[in-house]
Amino acid sequence: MNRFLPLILAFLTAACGTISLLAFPQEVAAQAAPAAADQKHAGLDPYKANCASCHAIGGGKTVGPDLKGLKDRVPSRDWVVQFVKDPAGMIAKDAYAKELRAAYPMDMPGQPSLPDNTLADIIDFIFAGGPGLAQKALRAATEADVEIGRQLFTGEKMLAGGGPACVSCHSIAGLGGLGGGTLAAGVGAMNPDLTHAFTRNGGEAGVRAALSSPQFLVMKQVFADKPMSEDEIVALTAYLGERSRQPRQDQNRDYFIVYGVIGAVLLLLLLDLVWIRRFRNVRKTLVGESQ
Amino acid sequence: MNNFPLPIAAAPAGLPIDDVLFVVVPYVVLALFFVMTIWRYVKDKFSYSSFSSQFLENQHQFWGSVPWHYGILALVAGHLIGFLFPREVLWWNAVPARLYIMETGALIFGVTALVGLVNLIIRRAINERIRAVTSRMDVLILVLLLLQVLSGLYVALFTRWGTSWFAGVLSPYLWSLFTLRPDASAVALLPWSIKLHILGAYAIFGVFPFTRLVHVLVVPNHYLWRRAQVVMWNVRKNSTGGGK
Repeated sequence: MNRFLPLILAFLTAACGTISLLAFPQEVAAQAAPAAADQKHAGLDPYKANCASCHAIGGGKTVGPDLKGLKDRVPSRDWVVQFVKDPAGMIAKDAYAKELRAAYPMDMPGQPSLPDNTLADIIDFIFAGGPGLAQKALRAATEADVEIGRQLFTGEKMLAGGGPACVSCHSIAGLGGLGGGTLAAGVGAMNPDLTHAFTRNGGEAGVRAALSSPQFLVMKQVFADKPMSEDEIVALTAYLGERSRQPRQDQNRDYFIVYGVIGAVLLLLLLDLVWIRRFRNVRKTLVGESQ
Repeated sequence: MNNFPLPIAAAPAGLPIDDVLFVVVPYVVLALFFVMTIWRYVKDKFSYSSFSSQFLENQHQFWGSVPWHYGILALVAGHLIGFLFPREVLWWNAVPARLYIMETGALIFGVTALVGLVNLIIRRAINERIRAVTSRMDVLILVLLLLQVLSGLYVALFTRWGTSWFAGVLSPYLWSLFTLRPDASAVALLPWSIKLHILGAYAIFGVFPFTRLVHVLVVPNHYLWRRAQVVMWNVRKNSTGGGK
């Protein structure tokens, strides 16, 4: 058998190499393709993917400042590049950056690995006033949206794009039962309880923008190809707004493990019952005799 | 001031180490799994089994083998359903009560599997006859399985609700592997406990062909419905030379 081991290893290496070669170029091609589409600005898509959930261009301030007229406000183009790559570093040493930070509710996440040419496209796009960026305001929320939002949150009404319901990873006041998910707690410092997310995220405009192109760690990846519809964003925002007026509630989470242990004990008893005639005495005698 | 540090996807998503662990490793493991499993069947057919675990002694074995196998089979089936039918799982979970039933059910099987596995490990450690036929690979696979069940229980308890986010995060990742468009970007951002559970699964698949786990492929299914049988010695033990 050892004779053939090198052969097998060679095969494995070859298989892996081939698969990697097969796989990775497809990704590159898939990313490059949209840029060639008609005549839209090269910075539009990367702007939407990386900036739009916290910034508007001409739509007013949300979680972050409105980027309209950015060109005239900043000291230089290079200042923008440095700020995007390392906001914390800039805030520490630059007076204007410090002033901006004080005026908004949260740190801007740095984008140190955004490719230079993509960042250049994005800055061109912002300096040009965001050509082609749909500025259509989402419709106003109605009373009915709160209930629809609750159903979307719990999953009673499924997201049309196929994304998992909020409750998969988040909790919120008033859920009942065993409460909501806690995965969100594991992927960052964020509180997975979204009861007060509305106020934390800059109110209606902020939450709507955040849901339009989620930038939160796992959500960004999960919802990249499963975007929420306008109605879903409006309804969820309305529901989060309504919930933010409630006090936070501790969910009955601890019962989960209790139910699990009790259930396991019952299952073990059931197994014992099913095999109640398992010839205990016969076997005991046989084993005893053989020893 | 910033009492709410948002875990926004800052750019270093997808470090090379994550690509290695969650893209290269699964392909290597898959190749290893299929090639070596077939190789062992062709070259060493009679090793396709579990070595004796003294099943005539079933005072202890019953509380190990039975809970372990029922627990783990239910869990493996659950993971497979999540992988194959993510939308249907989300549909089932759409009613909160159904989500809680599914999660609690999975947890029950998890605890049951843990009870069974711990019993099997204890029995293997204290029973001389079993220790005598225990190989290093048996020890390795038991350790891997124990780690896997423990990490699975940790994930179930502390990163809820797994049945839902599995459908949203892990099912697309696994499909990306099988369709040769590997995308580990979402997995790279998951907490270490889930990553450990995924890597544990790869480790088990990787060592599968070298361990007693191959018995999964030749499981005597008719044991499930055949009538119980009594094994009897028809010669006196003195004449057999057997026993201790």
